[in-house]
Amino acid sequence: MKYRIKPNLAYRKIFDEIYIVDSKNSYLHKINEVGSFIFEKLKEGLNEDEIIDELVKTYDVEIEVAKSDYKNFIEEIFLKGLIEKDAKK
Amino acid sequence: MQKNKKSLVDVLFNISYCKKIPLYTLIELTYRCNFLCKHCYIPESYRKKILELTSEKIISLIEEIYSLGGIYLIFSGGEPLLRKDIFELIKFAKKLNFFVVLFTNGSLLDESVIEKLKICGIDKVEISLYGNKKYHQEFVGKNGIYEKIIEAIKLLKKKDINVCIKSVITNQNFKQREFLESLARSIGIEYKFDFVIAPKNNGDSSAIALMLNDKEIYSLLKEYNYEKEKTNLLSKVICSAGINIVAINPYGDVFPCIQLPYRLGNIKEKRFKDIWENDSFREKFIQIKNYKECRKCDLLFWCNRCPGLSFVENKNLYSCSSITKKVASISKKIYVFS
Repeated sequence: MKYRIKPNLAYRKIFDEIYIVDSKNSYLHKINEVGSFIFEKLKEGLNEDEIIDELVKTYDVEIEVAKSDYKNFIEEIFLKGLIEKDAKK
Repeated sequence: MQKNKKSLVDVLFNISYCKKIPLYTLIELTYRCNFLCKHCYIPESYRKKILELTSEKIISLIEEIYSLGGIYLIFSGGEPLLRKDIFELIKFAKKLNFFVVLFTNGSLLDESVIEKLKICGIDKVEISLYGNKKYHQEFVGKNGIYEKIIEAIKLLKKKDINVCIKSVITNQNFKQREFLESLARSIGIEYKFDFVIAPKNNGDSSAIALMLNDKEIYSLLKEYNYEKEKTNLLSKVICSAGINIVAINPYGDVFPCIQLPYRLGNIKEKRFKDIWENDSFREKFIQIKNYKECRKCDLLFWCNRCPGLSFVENKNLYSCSSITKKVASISKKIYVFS
């Protein structure tokens, strides 16, 4: 499944961390460095396999660790309504 | 991932304060307005279209604010919907992932305008409302607009656009708060208010006569459990105007805050980035030694000092404002003597 950042989402990267403002309630979310890395790859339009591959290369971690980090992060931001499923795949 | 509204807001605020990021930018797109609100800080003589910034200039300004790390962008006025390029500007700001807020009197919000705002991706619409139909229309100097504004608020809510009602509470609409709160609650939206009235930008202080009397301020502060949030001397005295907050007027003048008409430069003459990165204002502004009156004042702990009010009242950033002093004095009475 490919995901994409919701259109019109307000966010800014400040010192390796991304701050997102939820337009529904003005709540602020902060994504840590690894989360921000995944978020930026989603923005570039990469799919799950490509992002996991980038995580392994950049952070020098085992593929299972990268898969788990990716899955947990995606679940969390999907539940918060910050990303959506990309129908185009 | 973390989510905690209050503490994260503080974290972002503190980072942007230390790094001088223009986190909150307010752009007054025009001084023109179809209302004549009694308390407005913009003098009538300022309402000219001729010198307003062009769309291109504003777009270039938004790009510069983006490159400096700004995220909250407020389009204000006058009435910003009087500008024909408003949708283009919102759309551009959203393309750069700003959180875009529109301050409006609501009178120009019909179904088609609301649909366009939705398509542009507006994040929040804040509508000024001062009371029921009779009070509101009298206060803003215009008849036949009230029902339209209420319909617009309901339609924004229906379209899932974050909308709120806000008021300035004066001695004329003091008893309207309950009505406004109840209206907001019935629609399911936020209501907020302020009661501090500033002199006009040209120094005309006639609107101060609308300010609540001591008894009314006392009752308001007590009812709303007015909190004193800042506890250290530095943050009591020095606010974030010009440090992570900035405002630009319709003619391109840059100010540390919309309530502080201390001109830092003009974007028709210089790039915004150059004006923002010039530290001469900040260097003076953050020097605690300049705040001689505050340092020896026994109301300091209770004071929410506003350099804008000091500057407009006395032409001196570091002086004491009679308005903030009055509120501080009442706060002290509530929390010390009651």
